[in-house]
Amino acid sequence: MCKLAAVNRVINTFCRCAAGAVILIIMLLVFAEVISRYILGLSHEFVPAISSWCMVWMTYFMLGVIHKARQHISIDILPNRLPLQYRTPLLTLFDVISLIFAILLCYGGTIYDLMVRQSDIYAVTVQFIPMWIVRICVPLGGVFLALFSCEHLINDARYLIKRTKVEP
Amino acid sequence: MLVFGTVVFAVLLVSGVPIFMAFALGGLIIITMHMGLPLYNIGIFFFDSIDSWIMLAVPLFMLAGQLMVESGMGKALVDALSGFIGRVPGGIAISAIVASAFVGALAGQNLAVLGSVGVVLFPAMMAAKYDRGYSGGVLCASSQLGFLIPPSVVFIIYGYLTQTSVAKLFIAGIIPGILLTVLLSIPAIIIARRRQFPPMPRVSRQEQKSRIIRAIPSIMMPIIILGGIYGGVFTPTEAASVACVYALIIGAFVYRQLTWKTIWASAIEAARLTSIILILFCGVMLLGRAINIIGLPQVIGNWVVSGGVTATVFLVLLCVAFIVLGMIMDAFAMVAVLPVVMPAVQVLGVNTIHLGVIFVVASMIGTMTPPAAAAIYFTGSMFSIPTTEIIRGVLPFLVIMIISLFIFVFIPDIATWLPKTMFG
Repeated sequence: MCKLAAVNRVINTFCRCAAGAVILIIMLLVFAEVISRYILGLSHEFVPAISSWCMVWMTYFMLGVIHKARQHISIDILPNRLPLQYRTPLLTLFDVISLIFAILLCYGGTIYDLMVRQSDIYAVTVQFIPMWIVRICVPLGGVFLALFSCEHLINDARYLIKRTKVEP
Repeated sequence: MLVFGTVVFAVLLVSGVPIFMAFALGGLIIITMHMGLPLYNIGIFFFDSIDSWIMLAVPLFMLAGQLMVESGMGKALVDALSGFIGRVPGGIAISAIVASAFVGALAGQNLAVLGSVGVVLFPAMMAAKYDRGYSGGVLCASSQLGFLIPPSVVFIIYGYLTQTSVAKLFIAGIIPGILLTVLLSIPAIIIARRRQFPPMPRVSRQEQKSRIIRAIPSIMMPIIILGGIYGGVFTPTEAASVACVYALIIGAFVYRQLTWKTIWASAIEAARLTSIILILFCGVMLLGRAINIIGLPQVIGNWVVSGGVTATVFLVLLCVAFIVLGMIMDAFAMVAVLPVVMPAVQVLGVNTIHLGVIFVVASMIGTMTPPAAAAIYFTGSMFSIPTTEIIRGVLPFLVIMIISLFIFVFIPDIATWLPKTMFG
């Protein structure tokens, strides 16, 4: 558990920093395109594609980070109304569902990515980056989500075991 | 399998699982088990749904909003406006409403508006002996103007989903935004007179002049954004990047509030807020595809035609549905309804720009209606006000917003006149 928590801490910091850097890169790329078009009269076709891909990568960098802080939008009326002793099992169930979802995302993303790799597809406007590298962010996001879901699950299990020991 | 998928979706949604997972898992069950499509569709939807130049405006406007809060641009604007309006009865509350409209034109979302306006005017309201619930209610309601006054993040998402011009939607939000600002000021004046709230302390002419000069760079920002979009100088996405750079320059060199640390914190916060919205959007698109495959939108379209439902009646029903959904869902999750109703909207010939304004106002109401009232909870946590007090405080403004919503339904020109005039 300690090792998983330590790994997750590193991933958490990395993902936050990467997402922060990516959003600043997007800002600079798009602004540079505006300047280039109006001052130099040059328009670069790759800017919309690359900046959009950066946005998708940023989303998947933050997917696990947001899950770790339980900040994804949810209808939390039921968990908030439940007494504490029922809330933790419910949260554990949510983490199991999150883990299943993360595995599906990872599996589906990987299968599709492999198909793209076999087809050797490139974007029309960006000929120097193969699409399978661009699309790998989806399974990667699934891996991050799975790691943080596992950490939640272990924490929930520890809490439940501790409570069961105290209650009798 | 269709029933199973629907049940899974409904159970996950109400039990409190993150909405994007409920949408995605429900949608995935329907498209894989009912329609027999391969599982790797999740990989396609969770990339292609957000790989868009239009959607790129969302993170950039989020970043612009965060930078605007940190740079002191919002504060300068609030100071200048409160000097003008603060002396009338209920002046601080009206200042909050008008300032929210102006800051909304810089920020594009409600949280940045609440951050900028509330930080300055909540202490002023407390000093003037306004009660906490009412103060929280004013700030909570007025900050929602950030959704309607352009640039608005909800308009961008709506535009992308319904293939409507974001520039036209931005322009369409101006008149309803101004109208709503005026209408929200009415209960603020009435309540202030009835409870005899004192006005703000008088500001000398010299001080007022210096406040206005200080606010000029802030006032220029919406002019640059909207002027640039309308003048065809740049697209909404490019306008968002220009807004970010402008906020950076003004914050660092004019107001001297931005440091590397605050810029970095703003970038991470903007990335966090954007990711919450974009991942939810992936779920919405997957569920929308599943709903399309099973033919629900066509069923609704046929029902509308065979039932002789008029466009106005349909919009009224839609408003009621949006308000009810808003009680349990966030504004960004409510976009899931749009793919379902779009065929009916097209059959009835409803203007999608008109529908966009209605959708945004309904979303504003939704974020303030308990039990799932994100705006109320956020205001409460920001200013340490109990939720029940804010709900009481927000009620008069909520009534005004609901009335405004139906005004916008019955008079479409309020939303459509300006884009029609400007874009033809």
